[in-house]
Amino acid sequence: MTAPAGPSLQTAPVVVQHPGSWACATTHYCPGCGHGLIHRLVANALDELGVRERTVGVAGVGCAILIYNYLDVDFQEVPHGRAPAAATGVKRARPDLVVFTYQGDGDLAAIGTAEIVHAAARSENITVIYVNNCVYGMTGGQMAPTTLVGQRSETSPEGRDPTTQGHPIRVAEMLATLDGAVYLERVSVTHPENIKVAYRAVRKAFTYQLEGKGFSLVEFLSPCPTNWGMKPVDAMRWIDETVSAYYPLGVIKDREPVHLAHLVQQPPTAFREDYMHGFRYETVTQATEDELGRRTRRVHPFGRRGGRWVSVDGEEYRPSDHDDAEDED
Amino acid sequence: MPLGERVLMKGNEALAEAALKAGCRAYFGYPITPASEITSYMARWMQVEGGTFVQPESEVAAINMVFGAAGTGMRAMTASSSPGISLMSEGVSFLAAAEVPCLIVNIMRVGPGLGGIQPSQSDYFQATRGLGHGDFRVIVLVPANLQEMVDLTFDAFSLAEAYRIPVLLLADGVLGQMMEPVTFTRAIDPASLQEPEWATTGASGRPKRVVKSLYLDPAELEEHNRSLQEKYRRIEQAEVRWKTYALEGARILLVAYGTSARVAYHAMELAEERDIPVGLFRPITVYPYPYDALREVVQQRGIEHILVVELSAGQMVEDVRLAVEGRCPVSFFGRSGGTIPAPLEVLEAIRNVAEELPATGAAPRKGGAS
Amino acid sequence: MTADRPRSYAPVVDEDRCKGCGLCVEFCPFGHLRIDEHLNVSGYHPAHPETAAEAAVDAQRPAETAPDVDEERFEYNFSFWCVRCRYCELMCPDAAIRLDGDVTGVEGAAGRLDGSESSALNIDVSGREDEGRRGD
Repeated sequence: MTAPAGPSLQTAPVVVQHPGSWACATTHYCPGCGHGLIHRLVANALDELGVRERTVGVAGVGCAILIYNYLDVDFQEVPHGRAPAAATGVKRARPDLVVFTYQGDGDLAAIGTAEIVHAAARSENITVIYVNNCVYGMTGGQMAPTTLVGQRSETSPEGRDPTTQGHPIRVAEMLATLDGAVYLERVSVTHPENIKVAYRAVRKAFTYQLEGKGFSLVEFLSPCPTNWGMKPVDAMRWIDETVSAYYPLGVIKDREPVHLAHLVQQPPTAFREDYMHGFRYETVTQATEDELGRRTRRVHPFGRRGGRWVSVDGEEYRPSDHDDAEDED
Repeated sequence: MPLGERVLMKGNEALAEAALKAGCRAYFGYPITPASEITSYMARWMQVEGGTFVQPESEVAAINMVFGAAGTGMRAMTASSSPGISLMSEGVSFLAAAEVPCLIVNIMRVGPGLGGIQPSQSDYFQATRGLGHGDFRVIVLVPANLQEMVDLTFDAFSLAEAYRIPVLLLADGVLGQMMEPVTFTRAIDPASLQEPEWATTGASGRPKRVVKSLYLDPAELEEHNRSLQEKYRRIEQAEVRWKTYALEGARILLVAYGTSARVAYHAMELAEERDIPVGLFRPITVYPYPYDALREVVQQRGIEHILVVELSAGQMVEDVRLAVEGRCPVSFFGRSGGTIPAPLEVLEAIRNVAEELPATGAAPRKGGAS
Repeated sequence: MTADRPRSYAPVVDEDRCKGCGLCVEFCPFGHLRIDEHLNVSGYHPAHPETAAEAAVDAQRPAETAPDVDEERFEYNFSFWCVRCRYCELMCPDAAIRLDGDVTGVEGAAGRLDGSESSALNIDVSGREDEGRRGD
């Protein structure tokens, strides 16, 4: 499916013709759908931070599968729910790239539950844009893990019954229990002021990635007028009145990564050497300040063995360049 | 491992070392018997090479991490065993459709279901019939000894990149766990590999690239499928590999791959000592399958009966029947459950076949493999 | 009302992009936007800035107090009323309604995002860290 042609504005002059992350295409989304707003927030953040040319997006499967037509960045389209895993692959292979996933509530909270939990647990340095509209949009409005109790859907026609269909999942709060999750915020797009708050959250999530802080997720409460059976304005109102009562807006978690906080608290000591199975490992568990005053920390891809040093602004730091850890100013 | 030196290694570890030498710098693997040593080896040595290692939460995540890393142009791989490969099915379909090269290793174990941890060859159907949904294929390489496994690992990455296709290295638990001397003759520096022109590396100074498999327009998708099929035809023309043994004067042909080929080889030697004229045809790729080569051998050598030996209930035997097109009868000998047949058992099956052969005036053939 | 105000000092609707969702109509603080009777090429009723005749229907703003009375449908008169809060622009999921013209230096207007080249969404977040949110 080729991207639709660009805008056909009326005769009034347009002040800014981008090159930017936003492709200006007419979208296939329903009237009043939140995706259009959220796409533009992501595009604006990438442009403000100036990272469009080194960004790779990983699209989940859902209504937003065609996001690669609407944002002018490299994209990978991966199986349903697996975007955090693919994003892990991209970011580990190319830590210099800015990597984000864009997923709906079926993609992230149903089939992809394992992937999002473990990407957060590993504190993968990616940004997750999670669009929660309490329903499966693309497939015609079936119940999602996020559908509210009593909410009608294609597969809960009498309203979600908690005795047989369980209770909705608050993903942001669930991930907050993981030490690896660094920044989790829930926002909505129901009012221009909320959109501004949402934009700040998106920009912060990408900024944290640039600072190497680890896993961040922004959960959007988004309308699905078509599958909710509401007019767009009523859908926005329903989010304000009902949905956000179950999914409270605000910062769920915003903290330094646990290992970094732990490292900062301990004074630097000399390197220790471990001998294991006849192989010599260097085990370094403390942060050091190098001569430029940057904090460095050890990156543990898995377990204690191996790992690389990176400074918090992403540059490689080699312990072998220094004779010992106390060699700093 | 140093180059040029003959070292005694475990199969799984030799394979992992070969991948590292071949420039693989991204490994994602979930532990499963009998393939876990590959993951452990990579956990230790991938770091030393400066690559990326992640033990993911499942094989599902593993194959998708491969998608992500390979999508940036890096040589990426995963390894698992039969149930884990089943979990990767959807991911492989996406990789094949998006034409992302990668290496997948299946150290086969018995099934179906959880089965057992003993070796088998019962994933042949899964491997050669595409490993997932849709009209696609993956190249399937079947080594029979560890040196071949090392060499085929290098070839796997080259083939994957040349054709933009996932490559499956189909070994079994015997090969994975056994120890044999191997020699590593070369090392590829991944920095010397060119970034592919389709990889998602950030749209800097170029239009964006999308690695995808979604084509909503039927005409577009048909064209995409047509080009995939055309690629598979090219692979079938150019990348078939096989080996033959003791064809001179053979009236019975054993067809086997991997570990069962090793057993069949010894059974063939035992048969020759008893003046039974037996040869061996050993495919090294089972996709593309050496249909033409096998048919030619049967025709030109006057093979009168084929005995297919597999560690399964009989899967490759169907491809052999396809190749032979009824020119001669095809029998099957196999063991399931993880029992590796002894050469004497295969010899028994050969004898049964030999007894049905019409008597000829030909002199008994003396032993010696070709 | 000054005569030298630019004519495009008001939202412009790209009719072909508009899907008639009505969010801009809802969120314009002055209610200056309406949904059309006619259909656009996609079969939606697009939004448009109200005409003088429509403004006259609103009893609080009788037509004779509107300085620019104009009968042609797309000559809007609410340049007098539009404070360029850009709520319509922010709320539109399809970027079908945009404020054009130079926004800097106009009193009461929301500034453009510093340094951004993107026309995706221009949001000024400077100095508004404690902005309240609706819907809590």
